[in-house]
Amino acid sequence: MKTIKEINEKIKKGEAVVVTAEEMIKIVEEEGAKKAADYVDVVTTGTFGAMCSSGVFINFGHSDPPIKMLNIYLNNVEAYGGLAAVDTYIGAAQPNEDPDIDIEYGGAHVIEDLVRGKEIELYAEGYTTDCYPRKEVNVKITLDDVNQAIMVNPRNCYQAYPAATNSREEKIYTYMGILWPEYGNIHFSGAGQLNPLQNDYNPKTKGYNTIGIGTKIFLGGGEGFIIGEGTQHNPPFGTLMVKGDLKKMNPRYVRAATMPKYGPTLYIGIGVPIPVLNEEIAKRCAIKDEDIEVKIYDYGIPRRERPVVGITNYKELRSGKICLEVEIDNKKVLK
Amino acid sequence: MIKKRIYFWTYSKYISKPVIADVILNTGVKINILKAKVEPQEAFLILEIIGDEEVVNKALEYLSKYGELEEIKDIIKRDEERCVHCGCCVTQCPFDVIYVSEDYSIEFDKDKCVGCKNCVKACPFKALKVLE
Repeated sequence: MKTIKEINEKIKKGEAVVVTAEEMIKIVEEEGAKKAADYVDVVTTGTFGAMCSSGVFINFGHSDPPIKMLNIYLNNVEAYGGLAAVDTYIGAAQPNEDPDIDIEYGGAHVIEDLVRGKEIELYAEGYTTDCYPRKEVNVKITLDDVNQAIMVNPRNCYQAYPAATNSREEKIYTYMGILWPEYGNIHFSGAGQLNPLQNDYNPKTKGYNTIGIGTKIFLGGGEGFIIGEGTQHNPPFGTLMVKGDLKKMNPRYVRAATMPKYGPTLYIGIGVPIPVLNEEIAKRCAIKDEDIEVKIYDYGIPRRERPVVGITNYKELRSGKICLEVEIDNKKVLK
Repeated sequence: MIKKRIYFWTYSKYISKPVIADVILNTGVKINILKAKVEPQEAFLILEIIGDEEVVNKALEYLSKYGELEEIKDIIKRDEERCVHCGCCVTQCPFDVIYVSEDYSIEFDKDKCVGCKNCVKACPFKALKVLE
C-alpha cells in the first residue's frame, strides 16, 4: 500500500518507478500484481484519436469602441455567440460557412491553426447596446492576441468504442471512416490496453480506482485536467470531460481532420497517469487487448440501435483480420 | 519471372483495337489489368506485366507501338508531417499494401502499390498522394 503523497515525494526526488501500460502487462505477468504494486509507482496510459466533442472557449478582449458579439466567425467557421460580449466557444465539428469549403476546413482546423500560431480572421457582428455601440469587427488574430483560449472537451477518451462494419450493397461514409459494401471491412477506434479509463476501471464498483475530478493529465501536448465525467458517460463505456490551456499545446497532439463526406473532427492526444496504490490497481493496469470486448455494429442500418453483427476484442482487431459470420446468405466474410 | 507495373495510354486510333489481348496472344505474357479508363482522346490503363524478362520486354515493345507507357515506381507518397497514423487507410487498400505495425505505426509496402487512390480518398489528413 502506498499513498499519492508518497509517490509525489518519490517523483520530486526523481526516484519514482514509472512504466507504460504495456510494460505493466509484462511486469504483472512475470512478477505478479503484488510485487508489481510494491515497486511500480505510476502507470502511464494514453489515447489519440478522433474526438468530435471538443472545442475551445476564447475570450478575444475588447475592441474600441467595444462590441457585444452575436454572430462570430473564425476563418469563416461559425463560433457560438450566446456568451458574454467577447467570449465564444468554437466546436471542432463545425463546418465552414462557405459551401465550397464546407467540411474541408472546420472548427477543428481553426483550433489546429491557432495552436500552430497562424493568423486567423475574426469577423463578428453585434447588435448595438448603450454600452457596446460597435456593430461589426473584422480583424486578424493569433493565439497570442487573445486573453484566454481554454480547451474544454465535453466528451473525450472513450474507454472502449464499438467497431463498425457495413451490410449495405454500397460503400458508406461514416465518422468511423469509409466502410465497404457487404461487410467488406471493419473499422475500430480506441487504444485498447493503453486507454486511461480501461486501466483504471473497477468492474466491482463500476467506478474508477484513481481517476477523478482534478486529475492532472497530458492534454494536446500541454497540461490539462479532468473536470468530470464526459457526456454519454456510461461505465464500462466511460468518457471524460477535460480542460487545458490551448496556448500551451503542441500541434503534434492537436490535429484537425476531415472524415470524408462526414465532417471535420479533432484528433487529440490524452495521457493519464495512474498511481499504483495497491495490488488491485496494479492488476487492473495489466489489462490486455484480448480482455477488452468490442462489439461490431452494422453502420449500414442508420438507426439508434444498430444491429450487433459480432463480438471481438482489440487484439483481434489489431491483427487486421477477423472472421465474421454474417447472416446474409450465411456467408463467411474475412476482415 | 519478373513483374513490372506500367501506366499505358493507348493512342486514340487504337482505342477500339483489342491491344491487351493481342499482346498476350502474341508474346505469351501475363497481364493483370489494375485499372482501365476510356476517354474520347485516349484510353488509360494501369497494367501489371508478368513473365520472364525476355517476354516482358517483348510485351513492352509491342505495347509501345499502340501507345505511350511509363514504368511505375514509388507511386504513393506520404507526407510524414501530416500523417498521424490513424489507420483510416488500412482497410481501403485492395492489395494489402498498408498495414499496422507492432508499435501502432502505419507502414506501406510500396512495391505492391498500384496507385488506385482508395487510400488517398479515405485519408482524413490529406497526407497521401499518388503521383500521376
